[in-house]
Amino acid sequence: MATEQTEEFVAAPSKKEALFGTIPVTREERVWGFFDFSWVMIGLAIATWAFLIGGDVVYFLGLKAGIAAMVVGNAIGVGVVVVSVLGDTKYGLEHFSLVRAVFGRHGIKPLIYIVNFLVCIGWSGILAVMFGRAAVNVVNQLADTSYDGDHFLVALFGLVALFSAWLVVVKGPVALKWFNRIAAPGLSVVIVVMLFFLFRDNSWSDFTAIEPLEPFGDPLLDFVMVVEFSIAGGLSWWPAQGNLSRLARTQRSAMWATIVGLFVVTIIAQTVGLMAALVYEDADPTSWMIPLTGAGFGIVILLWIGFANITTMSVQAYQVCVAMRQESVKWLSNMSWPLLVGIFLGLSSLLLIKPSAVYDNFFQFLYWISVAYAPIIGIVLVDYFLLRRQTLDLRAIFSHKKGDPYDFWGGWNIAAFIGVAVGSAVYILLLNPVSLEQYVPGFEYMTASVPALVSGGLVYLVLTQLWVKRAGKGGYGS
Amino acid sequence: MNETSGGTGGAGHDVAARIQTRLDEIARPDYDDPARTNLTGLDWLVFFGFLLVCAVGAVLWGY
Repeated sequence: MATEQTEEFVAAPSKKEALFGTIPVTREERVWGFFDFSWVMIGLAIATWAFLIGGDVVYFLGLKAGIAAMVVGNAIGVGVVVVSVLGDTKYGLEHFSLVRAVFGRHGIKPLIYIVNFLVCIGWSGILAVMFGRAAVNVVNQLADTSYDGDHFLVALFGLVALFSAWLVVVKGPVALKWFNRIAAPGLSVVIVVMLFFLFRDNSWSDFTAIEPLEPFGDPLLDFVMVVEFSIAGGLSWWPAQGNLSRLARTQRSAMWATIVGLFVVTIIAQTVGLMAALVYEDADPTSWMIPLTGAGFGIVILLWIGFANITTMSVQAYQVCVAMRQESVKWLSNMSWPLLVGIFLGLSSLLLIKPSAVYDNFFQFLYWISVAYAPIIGIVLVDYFLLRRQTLDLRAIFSHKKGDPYDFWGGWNIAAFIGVAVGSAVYILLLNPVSLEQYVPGFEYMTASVPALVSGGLVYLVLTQLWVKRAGKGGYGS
Repeated sequence: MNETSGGTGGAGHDVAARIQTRLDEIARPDYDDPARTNLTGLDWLVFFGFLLVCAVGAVLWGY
């Protein structure tokens, strides 16, 4: 480890720019083979967010239907994310550099500085709160106290988590790789331990006999609600996945390592979460561990889960900070890496002011992610696979000249934004992320994310064929 | 932190210039990188087949 870090710090400027900034990586700079990338993905998968999503299934479905819905949702969400970031691997591009070919060099800025930034701040804040709650549960057990989820210690421990993530991220992807090599195997042990204790006291038929806590009463609607937030959980990894995949050595290894981690292991982690939530009738993962395994094991597991949350926060912070260093925003691209990471994680700490506000709105947060990301991903898929046939003009991506292929209209591709607007509207019509109302029928049969993704992509395809191409924009040829 | 570069520009390097230098390398027609190889039809078949089997199997088993 020391050797690799030393190599990193004496690396040539361009290599460090590639790992920490927006310069495309070369073959030699791709640091992750299938094995390492799988561990990174597994580290992402077995964080507390997976337990939380799995735990919240308990409101709608029992065990068997819950597992089925999570498999369907993750197959859709993770599947489209995996495919949509293959271009990052192919060209070694920072994720939003690739997206310039779709939205334009200025058009990516709202995606980076508003959508991606807010999503990542939300995730980091939620994970920091959960770290804090896990730590407070440990304190409660050791000191025989009964601090609640909004006690100032939650925020204090959350700050410790954010600072720890900062320490990891300033070291860059090599440190992330080693951090995951430690965290992911330990988390695998945590899942096995949880399964042991769950099955020690309960049989499979016991689990399947437990009813969900607050179902709507319509089995299909309950099922699709779980499918929907499982899709949203998968889609939420889109920017992070793009920036991580560029460091994979082949497209095939990137694809299957992601499936191993974000699909297979996520399902396992979410299932364990659902089982524990069914037994304890509580969706909060930090409340299960001590009753489940006893004080000794429970404390160790809570501490390890907190450690895993730091891994996830680190990955989020890495990708969002890399994305923010677009070379067209000079003051950010020239900002010190530790300072940039510190600012991002510092803003995440604002969510620690009232921890329950974030925690209690977790699913609204997930749905809002899908409102934004589903149509964007649909548009990127259409552009990369249907319109450009997996071939990009690398020089045009980084060109600032007017009239260049990806300049569109002054750096903005209006067709892409119309596609996003239509896709997001379709989502909200099918499922209001706040009230969960459905203004038009069909959610039970289609979900909201899939129609949003498809409609956004279709509108973009039609507009590009009828308008963008004819206007000679986008470098699509005639 | 001992961050001598890492995109800080502290050493006076211009990011855009570095990108152009990098593009000179990776945009060459003869640039060789295994990551440039697109997935084959069999890759796609196995990938989507795996996800489809998992999803359909899960619904048949659990719903």
